Amino acid sequence: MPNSGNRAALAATSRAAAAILGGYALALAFTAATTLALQHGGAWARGEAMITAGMLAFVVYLLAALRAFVTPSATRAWAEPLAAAAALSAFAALLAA
Amino acid sequence: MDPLHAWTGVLFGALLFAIFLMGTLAVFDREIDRWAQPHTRVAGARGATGAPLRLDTALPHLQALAPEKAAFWLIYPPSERVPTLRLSWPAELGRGVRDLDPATGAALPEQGAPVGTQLFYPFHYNLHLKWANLGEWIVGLAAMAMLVAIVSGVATHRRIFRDLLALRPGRSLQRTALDLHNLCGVVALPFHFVITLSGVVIFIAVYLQPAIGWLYDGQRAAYAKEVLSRYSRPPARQAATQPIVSLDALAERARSHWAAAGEPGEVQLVIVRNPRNAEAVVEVRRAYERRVGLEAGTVYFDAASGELLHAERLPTASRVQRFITGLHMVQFDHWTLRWLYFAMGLAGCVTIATGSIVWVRKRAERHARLGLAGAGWVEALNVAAIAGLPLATVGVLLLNALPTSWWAGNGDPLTASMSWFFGLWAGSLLHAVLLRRGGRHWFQQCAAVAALAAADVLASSLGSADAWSHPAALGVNLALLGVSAGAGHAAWRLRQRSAAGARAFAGAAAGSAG
Repeated sequence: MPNSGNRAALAATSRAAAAILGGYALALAFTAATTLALQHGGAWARGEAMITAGMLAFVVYLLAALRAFVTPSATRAWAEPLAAAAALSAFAALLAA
Repeated sequence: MDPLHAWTGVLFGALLFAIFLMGTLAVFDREIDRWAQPHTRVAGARGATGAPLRLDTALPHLQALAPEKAAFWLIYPPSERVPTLRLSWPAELGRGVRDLDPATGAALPEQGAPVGTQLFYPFHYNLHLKWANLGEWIVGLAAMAMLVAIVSGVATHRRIFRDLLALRPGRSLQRTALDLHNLCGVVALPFHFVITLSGVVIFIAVYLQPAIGWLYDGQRAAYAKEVLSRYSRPPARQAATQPIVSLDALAERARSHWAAAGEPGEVQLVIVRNPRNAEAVVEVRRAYERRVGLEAGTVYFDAASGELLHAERLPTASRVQRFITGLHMVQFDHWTLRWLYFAMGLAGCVTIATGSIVWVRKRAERHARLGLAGAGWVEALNVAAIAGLPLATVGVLLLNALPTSWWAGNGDPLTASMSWFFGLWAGSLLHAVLLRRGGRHWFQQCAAVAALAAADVLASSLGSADAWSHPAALGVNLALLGVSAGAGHAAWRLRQRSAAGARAFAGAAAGSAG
């Protein structure tokens, strides 16, 4: 039936957008938070912390993108990475202050 | 996971095929340059006595050729894969390039363009879309999609090892294509995953720019200094009053420095930054040789006084990133591994192409039953991606094998090559779209690839004496023969299939009439 087909397509597109954009936001927040955590918590140099966090961030991005397609609903597919990104951003802002 | 794998493939398949094909060609980018530019196939990187090369012979040429405001000059001493003394400088489109004979220092006459290193290789990572790094961002997105496709592809594959060993040629095209897709995907699976993830890691500074900018408060120089151990200084207001110090002397000092640091090596590249300025800097970079990690151990000198300004010392985490970069870029000296990368890259191209073909054929059959036309358009895009891009490649190679004045006119051969390359590709798309009802586009474009590849070999043989004796030219010619044979075989099989289909149709029509 055309209507439910369209709804399914919309949900799938929403998940894909969540995977791409939400995952990217999470990767950025992860990079910032991990860099600062390594600097302040582990006494790492800024450059080393940043490049380490950056390399790990892509793995985090991949996992987040995959997760967006198995969440119970499309709304969750957005909520999860954005909430995680917000939490990590707050943590990073705290460490930076 | 099944629809995820299928749709990632549908949306990104054409782009990923282009990236993988160009990347596979880039493994032998310098050899393709040798093939396209016969004048660079000089023998012997050094004089007969093995005397060290004089880099200073490059300076007068650069003074004359490079634009007044050029931000840098590049000088590549001869090496195994690039036997000329190669000069480069920033130009309107990409780089200006000139080759000098390493024995005499004279400029070599120009034939053809360095299509391997300046067309195919950059296309692979930036699609020649330089505005705001757009091409790099698109490639990065495609790379993440490839990773998703790999993971979801493995997840859908329940009987992964049994199916791996089942290659059934001679059955239907769908069956063979699917078997090839599984085989090439699984056999080189670690390669596909590592090459894709490492490709993304190379461009950390681009993709994570928002986070880096925030962490470094926008101080890009601080990032380059801390992470990459780079040295730079802004140009002074006045021009240089003194000539540049002998580059050969600086190269010798760099070699001693590397030897003393326990990492000996030869000079791979000399860069002169802000060459006509009072604050010019000479950078000397070391060849990678057997090192995987892309660490050049760069040494920086003041151009006027020769004072040592800085020597590269990478922090450990950066060395890891440089190692991952090196895993991807295959700049080390190891022919066996280089051929393995090439073979696995081809496997990746086959994986992506067969996946697209299988999906589109299934969808086209469904659309034919339902009287819809959409799949025809998607198939046309497939043809342009999978047959059209190789067609543009062998086409631009043919141009470079012909006398340059025939097709480049007064312009720069590289710019002309790029126009022809994209023109041929656009032409193939138009052709595929016009022939989308009936399926002759596959056959015609495969046949064209076969014909052009054979023409490439012929033109190369006629155009230069060492087309079959110089190892690089020989390798490319043999590969082109292989391409011609493969494309020709595909065209023949497609012809057979459509003839059989036409006979069946005619038989059915006759049967229903009688």
